[in-house]
Amino acid sequence: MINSPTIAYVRPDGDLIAEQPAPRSSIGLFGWMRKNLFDTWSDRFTTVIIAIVVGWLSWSMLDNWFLSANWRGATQAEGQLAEIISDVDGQFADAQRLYATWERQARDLINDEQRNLDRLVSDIRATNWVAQPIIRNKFRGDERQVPDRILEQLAIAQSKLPLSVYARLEAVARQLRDPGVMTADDILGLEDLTLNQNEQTTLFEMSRPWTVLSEDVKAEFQTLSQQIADAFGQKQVSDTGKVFIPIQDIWPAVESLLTETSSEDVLERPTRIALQFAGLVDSVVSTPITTIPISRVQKMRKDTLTNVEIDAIRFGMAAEVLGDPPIGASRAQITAHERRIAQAAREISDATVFLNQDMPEGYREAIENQSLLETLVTMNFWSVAKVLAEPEGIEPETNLPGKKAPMVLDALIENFPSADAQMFDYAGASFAMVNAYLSHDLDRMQEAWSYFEPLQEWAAGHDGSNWAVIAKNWKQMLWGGYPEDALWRLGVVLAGFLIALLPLLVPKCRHFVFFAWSGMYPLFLLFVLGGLSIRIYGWSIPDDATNWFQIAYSEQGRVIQAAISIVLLFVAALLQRGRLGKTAGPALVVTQILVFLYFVIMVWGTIINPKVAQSNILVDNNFSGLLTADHPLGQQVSVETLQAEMDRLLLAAEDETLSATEAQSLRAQAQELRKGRTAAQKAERDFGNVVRKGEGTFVVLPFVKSLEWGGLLVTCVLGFLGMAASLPLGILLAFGRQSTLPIVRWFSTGFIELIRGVPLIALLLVVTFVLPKLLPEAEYPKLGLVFVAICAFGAVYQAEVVRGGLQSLPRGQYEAAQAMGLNFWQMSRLITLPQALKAVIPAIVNTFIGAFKDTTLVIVVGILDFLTISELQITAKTAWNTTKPETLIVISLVFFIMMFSLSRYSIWLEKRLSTDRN
Amino acid sequence: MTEVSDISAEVRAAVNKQAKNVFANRLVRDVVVQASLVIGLLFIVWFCTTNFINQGNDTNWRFLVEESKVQQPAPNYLPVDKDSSVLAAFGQGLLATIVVAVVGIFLATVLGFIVGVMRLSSNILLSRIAQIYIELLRNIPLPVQLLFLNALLLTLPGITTEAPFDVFGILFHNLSFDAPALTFGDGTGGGTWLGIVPFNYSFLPSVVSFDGEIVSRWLVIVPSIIFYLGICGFTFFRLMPWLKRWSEANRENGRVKNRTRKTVVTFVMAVVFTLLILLFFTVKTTFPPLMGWSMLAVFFIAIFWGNAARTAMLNWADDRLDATGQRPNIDLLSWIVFVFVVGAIFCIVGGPIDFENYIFNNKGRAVFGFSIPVSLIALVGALAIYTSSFIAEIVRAGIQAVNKGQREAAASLGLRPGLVMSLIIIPQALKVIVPPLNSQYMNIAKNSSLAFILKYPDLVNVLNTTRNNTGRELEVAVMILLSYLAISLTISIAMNYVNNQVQVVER
Repeated sequence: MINSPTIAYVRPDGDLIAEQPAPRSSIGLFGWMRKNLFDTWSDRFTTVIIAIVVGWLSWSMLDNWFLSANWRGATQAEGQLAEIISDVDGQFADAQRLYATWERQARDLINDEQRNLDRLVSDIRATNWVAQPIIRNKFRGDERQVPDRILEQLAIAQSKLPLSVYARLEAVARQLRDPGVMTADDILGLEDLTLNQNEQTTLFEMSRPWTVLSEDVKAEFQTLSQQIADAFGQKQVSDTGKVFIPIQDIWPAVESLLTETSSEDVLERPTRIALQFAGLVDSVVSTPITTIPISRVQKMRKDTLTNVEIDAIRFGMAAEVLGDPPIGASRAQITAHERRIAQAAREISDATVFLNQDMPEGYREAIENQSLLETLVTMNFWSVAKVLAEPEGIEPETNLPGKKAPMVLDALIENFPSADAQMFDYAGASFAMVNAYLSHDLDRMQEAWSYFEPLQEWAAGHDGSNWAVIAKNWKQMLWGGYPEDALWRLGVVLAGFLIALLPLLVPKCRHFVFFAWSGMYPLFLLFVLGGLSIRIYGWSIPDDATNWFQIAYSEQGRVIQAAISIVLLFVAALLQRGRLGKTAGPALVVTQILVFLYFVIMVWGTIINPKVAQSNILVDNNFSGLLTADHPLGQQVSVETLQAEMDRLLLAAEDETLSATEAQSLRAQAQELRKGRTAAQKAERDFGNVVRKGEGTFVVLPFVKSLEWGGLLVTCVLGFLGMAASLPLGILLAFGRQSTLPIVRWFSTGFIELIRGVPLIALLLVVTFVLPKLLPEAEYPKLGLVFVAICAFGAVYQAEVVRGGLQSLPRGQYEAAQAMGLNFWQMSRLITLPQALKAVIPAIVNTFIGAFKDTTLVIVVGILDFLTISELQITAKTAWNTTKPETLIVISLVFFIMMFSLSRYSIWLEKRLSTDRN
Repeated sequence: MTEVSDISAEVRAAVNKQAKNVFANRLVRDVVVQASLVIGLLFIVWFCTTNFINQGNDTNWRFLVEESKVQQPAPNYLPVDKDSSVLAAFGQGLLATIVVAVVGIFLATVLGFIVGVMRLSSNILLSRIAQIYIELLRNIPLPVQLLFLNALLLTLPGITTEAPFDVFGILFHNLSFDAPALTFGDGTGGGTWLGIVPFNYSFLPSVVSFDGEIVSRWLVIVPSIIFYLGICGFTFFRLMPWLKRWSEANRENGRVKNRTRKTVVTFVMAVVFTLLILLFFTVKTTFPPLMGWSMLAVFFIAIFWGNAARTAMLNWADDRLDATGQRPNIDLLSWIVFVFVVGAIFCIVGGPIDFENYIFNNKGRAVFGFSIPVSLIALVGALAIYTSSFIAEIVRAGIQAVNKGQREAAASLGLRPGLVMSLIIIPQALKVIVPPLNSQYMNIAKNSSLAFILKYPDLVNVLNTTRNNTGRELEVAVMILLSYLAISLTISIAMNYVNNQVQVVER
C-alpha cells in the first residue's frame, strides 16, 4: 500500500463541480413511482393492496356502467332480464335437487295431489300470460292508463313460480309422511326439516294472515259462510276468526252443491260470491295445505267450466299476483291494496272478454273442445302469434300449442330487443319450461330449460347498469313538467343567467349595466319562467268585508296601496335632495327599497295574480272548440248555465230515436261541459264572481304554474335565487348581530341561533305547513314557501360568515373610518364591508355550496326538484323501479360537476383577490 | 384671522344645523330604530295571530295523549307501538334521533380521522384516494348519497324471496340486518333467595304496552326518574369526594399508612349502589322501558361487588408492599376473583343471560333477535360517510397546523411514526380540530332528520305523522323546533367542555 503523506486534497476555487443530476433510480416514471409508492415496505404493501382494490373496483364499474350496460329500451325489463333469468335458474336448480331427493314411493304417493296443484298453478300462470298482452294491447298508446303495477307483479309472480310449486310439493310430501292437518307454521316447527330459507319464506308467504283483509270483507265473507252453511243444513261454522278461515268447513257443502247441479243458473248469488271469495282467500289466508278448493272444483268439472269457477280462479290469480300489501302498510294502504286486487281481477276479466271478441273462429272452436288449461295455452299462443304476425306474417294456425314452441321461441328471440316482444319472449320460454315440468320428467325439463339459453346469452351481455332510464326521462329530469312549447323561455333565462354571471367571472365586466342586470335578473327570471299577464277588471271591495284588513286585501285596496307606495317613493326621492336626506340617506335608501318591494307585492297581487290568469286559461282551454262566438254560452260562463246545458245534453242523449253515434256525441259534449263546470266552480271559489272568458286579461306570456316547474330547473332556481337573496339578508343580519343597539342585536342573534339550531328539513316542513296558517287565507305556491325557508336558512349561515369577516378586521379600520367622519353606512359601504367580504369569500362560496346541496332536501315537501323528480316520479314507477342507482349516479355527477367547479371558482377568486391586496 | 373666524363661523353654523336635525341625535336615532323594530315585530305577531284565528285555528295539546298511529321498526327503545300515545312515540323519536346522531358522530369521527391521516400519507396513491374521497363526497348532496346507499342496500337479497347473506349467523338482507340478541333474563331463578322481590317481567318489549291511563303513569314515572337521577348525582358529586378524602386522610408524608379505610369505602359504595339500584328497579318493574334493564341492574351490582373484592385485594397487596417491601403478585388473582364474584352473583340470581335467535314473520321482519332496519343502516352510513369527508379536511388542517419541528423533534427522539402521530401530533392538533368539529357534529344531529326520506320514525317523522293525523300544525312545529334547539344546545355544551379539556391538556 502506498500512502501518500501529503496533506488533504483541497479543491481549487475554479474547479467547482456542477450540481449532480439526481441518481438514475429517482428520475423518470419509475423513479417517481419508487419515491412515492414503493419507498418503504409498508408503502409497498399499501400500494399493492390499494392497486388491487382500485383495479377491481374500476373494472367492476367499467363493466357495470359501460360494457354490459343496457342503453336503450322502453322499460327497465330489458336490462333486468338477466337478473330474472338467473333467479329462475337458481330456482330451477333447487327444484331439480329437491325432486331428485324424493323417494320413489313418495313421488308416487303425491302424484295425484301434485297434478291438481300443478294444474291450478299453471292455470293461474296461463291466465297471466293471456292477460299481459291483452292489457298491453288494450292500453297501447295511452301510457297513463297502463296498469304498470299489474304487469310488473305478473312478471314477478312468474319468476317465483317454480319455487313455490316445489315448496308446496315438499309440504305435501311431508304431510303424507305425517298425516294430519298441518300449517306452514307446523312444518317450520319440525326439527328435521330440510327446507332452506327460500322455501321457508315461501311457505310463510302462503300463510298470509287473515288480518290483511279489511273488516268489511271479513264481515261479508263470514255472512256468506253462514248463509252457505245454513243453506246446506250445517248450522255450525267453526270460526277461528283472527288467525285462520275455516274454508275446509265450507268446501264440503260447496262441493256437494257442485256435484249435484250442473248448471250455473242454479247457483245463487251468495254461493257464487262465496266461491269468488274462496278463490281470493285461498291465496291470501293461511289454510291447511291440503285444502285446495279450486283444484277440487276443477277436478270435478274439468270438462264444463262454469263462470263461477273462472271467476274464482281469476280472483285467486289476482290475489296471487299482487301478493302482500307493502310492509308496515297502514289500514288505508291495505284497503287500497284490496281495491287493487279487485281492480286486477276486473282488468283480467275485461281482458278475457276482449280476447273472446277478437278471436278467430278456428281458435274459438279449438277452445270449446279443450280443457281450461289447454284453452288458456291456446289463447296465450294466439296472442303471441298475433304480435309476431304483424312484422313477420307468421300464420297463427301454425302455432298450435305444444308443437311449434321452439320455433316461436326462435322468432321471439330474434325480435327480442323490441319493447313489444320482450314480455312474450320470456313468457313463452317459461311456458315451455312449466309445461315440461308438468310431466315430472327431468330430461324434458332440462330440454325446456335450454330454450332459455339464447335469452341467457343475450341477457348476460346486458346485466349491468340500465341507462335507458336516463335516455327515456332526461327531459323530465331537466325541466320536469314545464310545457314543451314554452321551453324557449328556459333558453332565454339561461342566456340571461350567463350575462348575469359575467361581472362575477370576468374581471373586466365591471360596468354598471352588468351589475344592474345581475341585480334585476331574479325578477326577470320569475317573470319569464312564471309568465306575465295584466288583468284590468273586477276591482271591488268584498261585500262581506268586516275590517280594514279585508278591505286592504281586496283588489281595490291593493291598488290604493300600490299608488300610495309610488307616492312615498317620490317623497323619499325628494327628501334625499334635502337636508334631512344627507343625514338619513342610507335609512332613506332602505325605506325606498322596502317601499319598492311593497309596491311589487301589491302589483303582483293585483295585476299579475297568477291564480286569476291561470283560471282564465283553464276555462279557455276547457272551452276551446266548444264555446265559439256563435255558441249561446260563448259570452258568459257560470256554473249554473253550464250545469243546465249539461243536463240538457244528457237528457237529449236519452232520446231513443237518436242513433248510437249521435247519442255518443251528445254525451261527449256533456263530458266536455263537465270539465268546464269544474273549472268554473274552481274559479268561482277563488274569485267569488262569474268568470268571463278572457275578458280584461292581457296575457304577455302565458302563465306556467310553479307546480309544473321541475327537475334541474327548480334546483337551480332555488339554489341561485336563494344565494342571491340570502347574501344581502345575511349581511343585514350580521350587522344586526354586531349592532350596539340591544334590541336589534337580540333580535338578530335570536333569529340566527333559532334557525341555525334547526335542521332545514324541519324548517321546510314548518314553513310549508305553518306559514300558510299565519298568513291571510289563500293558496300559496309551495315553491314560494320553500324558497322562504331556503333563504332564511342560507341567510343565517351567510350572516355568521360575514360576521366572522367583520370581526377579523383590525379595530383600526373602524376607528380610522369614524375619524374620517364617515357615518355607519358610509363606513360599511366603503371601508369595512369590502374588506370583510373579501376576507371571507371562500367561506361564502362554501356556504353557498352547502345551501345549493341543501336544496335537495325539498324532497320532504314534494317539490319536484332534480332529485325528487327522479326519486318520486321516475324511479317510483314500476317501469323503472330498479334503476334508482343509475339515476342517482347521474344526479351525483351533475351535482359534483357544479359544486366542484364552484369550489374551484372560490379558490380562483381567493387567489385573484389576494394578489390584488398585495 | 378673519379667515379663521369665518371658518369657525361656518363650522358653528354647520353644527347648529346639525343640532336642529333630530336624527343627528344619537339617542333619538337609537330609540326610533329600536322602537320601529319592536313595533314591526309586534305587528307581525299580531298579523300572524289574527290570521291564525281568522282561519279558525286554535292550539290544543290534547293530541299528545292520543294514539300515535306510528309504525315502529325494530330497535324499539321504549316499547312503543301504534297504540301508544303521541308523547311516547315522540320520546321514541327523540331517542331514535339521539341514537342516530351519536352513532353517526362516532363513525364519522373515526372515518374522518382515518381519511384525514390518509390524506397526509407520503404514499401518493393513498393520499390521492383520500383526496378523491373527500372531493367526491363533499360535493354530492347528502340526500343523494343517502338514497344511493339505500338503493344499494335494497339490492341485497330479499328474505322473502331468496337466501340472505349469512355471515357467522348475522343475516344481511334487504329489509334489515339481523343478529342473535344477547338477552338478560329476569333473574327470577334465584331472586327470592337474595330476598329480592321477583321481578314481574317478561322479555317481549314489542308486545308489552301500558295498561291503564298513560298520563297518570307518566306523572309518577317522570318524577321518580328525576328523583333517582338526583340521588345518583348527589352521591357521585357530593358523597364520593368526601368518602375519598376520608379514605385517604391517613396519609403521612405522601405514604399511605394503611388502606383499610379505602377498602371499607369501596364496600360501602357497593352496598349503597346495590340498595339504590334494587330500590329503583324493584319499585319500577311495572314500567316497561325499565323491565328489560332489570338484569342490567344485576349486572351493575355484580360489577360493583366484583370491583370491591378486587380493590380490597390490591389494597392488601399495597399494604404488604409498605410493610415488607415486597408486593405479593396477585394482579392476575385479583382479576380471577373479580370474574368469580361477578359470575357468582349471576349464578345466585339465576344466571339469566341467553342468546335469542331471530325469527322472521311472514313479512320478512325479524320479530326476535337484534335487528336493524336497512333504512337505519343507510341513514347512519350516509351521515357518517358524508360528514367524514368534512371531518377529514378538518383533521388534515389540524395536523398541518402543528409545527413541523414538533414532528422532527419527536422523530429525533427515536419515536416511531405511529407513536409520533399518536403522542405528539394528534394531541396538539386536537386544539385546532375540536372547535370546527362542533359544527360538524351539530350537522350530523340535524341531518339525522333525513330519516324522514327513508320513512324511519325519527323525531321529525313521528311529529310529521302526528301532524298528518291530528292537523295540529303549530303545536308540532313548536315541538320540532324546541327539540332540535335542545339537541343543538346539548351538543354545543358538550363540545365546549371537550374543547376546554383539550385546551387544558395543551397547556
